[in-house]
Amino acid sequence: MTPVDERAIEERLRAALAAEAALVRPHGHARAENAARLARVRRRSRLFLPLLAATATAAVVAVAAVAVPAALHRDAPPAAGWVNALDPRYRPTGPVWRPGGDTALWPAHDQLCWRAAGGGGDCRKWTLPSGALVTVVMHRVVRVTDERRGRFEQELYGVAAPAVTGIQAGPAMTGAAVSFGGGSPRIWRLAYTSDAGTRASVLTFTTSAGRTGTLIATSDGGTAQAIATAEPARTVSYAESRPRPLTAGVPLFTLRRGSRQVPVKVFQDGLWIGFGSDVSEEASPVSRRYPLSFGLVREAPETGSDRWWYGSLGEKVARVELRLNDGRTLSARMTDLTNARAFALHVTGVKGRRNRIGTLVAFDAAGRAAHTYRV
Amino acid sequence: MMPMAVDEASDGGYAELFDAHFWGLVRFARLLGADDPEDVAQEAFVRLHRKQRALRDPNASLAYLRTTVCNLTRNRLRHLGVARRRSHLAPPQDVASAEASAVGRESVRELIAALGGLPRRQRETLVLRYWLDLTEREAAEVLGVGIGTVKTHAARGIAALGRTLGEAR
Repeated sequence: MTPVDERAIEERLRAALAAEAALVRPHGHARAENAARLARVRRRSRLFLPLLAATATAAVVAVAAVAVPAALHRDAPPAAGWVNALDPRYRPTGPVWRPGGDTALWPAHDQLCWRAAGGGGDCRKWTLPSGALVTVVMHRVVRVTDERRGRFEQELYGVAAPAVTGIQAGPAMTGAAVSFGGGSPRIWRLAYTSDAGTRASVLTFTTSAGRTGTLIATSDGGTAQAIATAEPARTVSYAESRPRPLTAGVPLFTLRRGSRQVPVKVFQDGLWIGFGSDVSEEASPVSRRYPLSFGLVREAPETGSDRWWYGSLGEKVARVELRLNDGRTLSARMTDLTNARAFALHVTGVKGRRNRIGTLVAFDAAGRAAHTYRV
Repeated sequence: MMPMAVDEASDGGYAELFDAHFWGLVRFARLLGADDPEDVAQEAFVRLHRKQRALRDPNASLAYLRTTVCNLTRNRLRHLGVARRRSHLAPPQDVASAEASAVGRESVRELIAALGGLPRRQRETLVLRYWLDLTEREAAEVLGVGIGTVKTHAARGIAALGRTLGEAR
């Protein structure tokens, strides 16, 4: 082969390799998949370590006892903090926007997520159909400013089309501040204060083409997104976004549904504790003012006479009993959380209506009954 | 108050490395002939995460990833070869998609098919030299061989491609 032929082959090879490589089409789930793999590896190494340590001790190989676990075990880096604790589905896969206060916002595939520094957050799906300019994805009550007058600090989160140059808040929204996050999608946040009874949020937005539109969004528990085009005012509703833990959770117990096994998990993120199977479905904040009482108490959906009760407890509750009206007494299994505890209690052969079955009793460390809850 | 640092820079720049090089490594694995290149790249990153602190030179992460992708692809191809021999299966035939059957793709397909027919070391060397544009020294480090070996594989690979493409005409 002559040098000219060789160079021609090389050029063709470069072009062919580039064309073939271009067939790989990136998608947005790679980082989440990687996070899930790393979590699996960490879990395996944590299970594997005690076995290794025992084997090493038995073999009286001091060097191995020290060196092998050090080589295999890798702790999560502490500075990564809550990001590592996040369920991979809700991990930020791109830049995170901190518009101010304690809130961080980021897009996660087709969802918009928020998270507070003290724990808790939420993710909601969003869409911005062709022609739509602004969408309100979530509404959040941040804190109660004046309890007597019912003044609330609130926030609206949404996504805007690139053409939108500004969003103005209506007169009922005192001290309103609008900010836009960079990147794509274009996230916006509106922080404002409102009095009790002010349920509607009036937003006026303008586009680079000079068009304006108004959106009256009401937080009345609806689940629809508020999507606005540059048309006359229209009223839409959206659901309030209550904080819930976005972590992967810890298994609490397993429900049997026919041949299926459904794990019920407890989720904790900062102040918020929630329960659910796949993700946290409901949550309540941990109250350290009541360390000897029940928090959230729930009953799993009934399967015949097989019933489960579970929930959260103050951190000083030592154990929980269920005193059934038929005379039996059952003990709950306990799970330790940060500044709180969780319990799960399984009962078979019980039928009856709610509040007529028995009483849950929380005991302190000295064995005194501290709090009761009728089930 | 909890730290709000969301970037994972504290993790030895792992996240940045992932974002910057994951898809490049998927493409690399594909060009080496991996049947599931994304899985190969994911596994390479998981291994890096475990070994990152043990790397003497923190800047060597990318070289480590490339070497791991090479080794993993090699192992998979070897495993698939054994599995095929045991089950008496023929290797999967590339079926031209509508997109691939376009005239412009024909010469690419011809060359990629010829590349796939080369011995493994020659294929790896050509991908490192002509797709990643690595120097002979860098390619030698990734493959764990000497510079002379890289030169030999590259020259033989190009010559073999020339012969195959010449015969095809």
